[in-house]
Amino acid sequence: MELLDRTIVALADPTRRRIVGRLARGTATVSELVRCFDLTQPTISSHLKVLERSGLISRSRVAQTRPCKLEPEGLHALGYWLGELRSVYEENYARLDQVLERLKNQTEGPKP
Amino acid sequence: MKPMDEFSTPTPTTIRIVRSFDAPIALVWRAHIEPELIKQWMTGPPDHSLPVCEIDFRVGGKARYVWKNPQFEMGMTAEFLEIVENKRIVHTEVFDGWPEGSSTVTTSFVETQGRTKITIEIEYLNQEARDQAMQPGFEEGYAASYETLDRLLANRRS
Repeated sequence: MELLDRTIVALADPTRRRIVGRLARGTATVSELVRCFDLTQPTISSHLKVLERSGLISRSRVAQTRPCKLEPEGLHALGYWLGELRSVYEENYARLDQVLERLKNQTEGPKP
Repeated sequence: MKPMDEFSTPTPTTIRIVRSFDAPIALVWRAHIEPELIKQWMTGPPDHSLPVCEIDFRVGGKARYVWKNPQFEMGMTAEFLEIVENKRIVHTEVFDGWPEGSSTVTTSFVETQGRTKITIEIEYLNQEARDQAMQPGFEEGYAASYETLDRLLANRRS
């Protein structure tokens, strides 16, 4: 699976998006996230694994804890994908402008 | 190229696109539902064509699109959930091999003085997931990440 697909899959889950939202405000340890979301430690850990594989977060090691940090690069990939999507729509609609011009000429022109 | 009126992410799982066309609603509507017209414009990225566009335009009906370029082929299946003539089309989209990215798309048409504005909302998650997503604290927490996206989009397209 492409990294971008992993990013989108990672963000398709509401709990993981809330974790990303929490980490957007600063790093947090697993136990802080457990308290924050009222979920069990294994549940939080499994979500963090998915987020880490997607490149959205990274985890360092400080003494016995593993603080989690948001990685902007993962969101950059998503932003790039949105940019591509936007280009496709812009180009499609530029062509649709032309199709509509032709249709207008047909409907306004003399009937056969 | 004529700019879009809007390209935004109003919620973390929604993309909204607004675009105006210098044509009456009846023509814009036709251009969205007649395969021979759709094939002329919905061709996607440069160098692609849309050789397959089959549409069973009724509620519960399906549509099949296949885009092609020399190296690549991508198919998508849609199903119509709601049709209000000259006003609104709601359909689901599932791209081949990417079920996680399935979406519900609402296209609304409004005519003002011979010009037609369409609004497309692409919703990337089902209702259950959306309800969970909208729990207290979610939007506030996510706003920061989405500001990053907004900046990226603004930079890319300004």
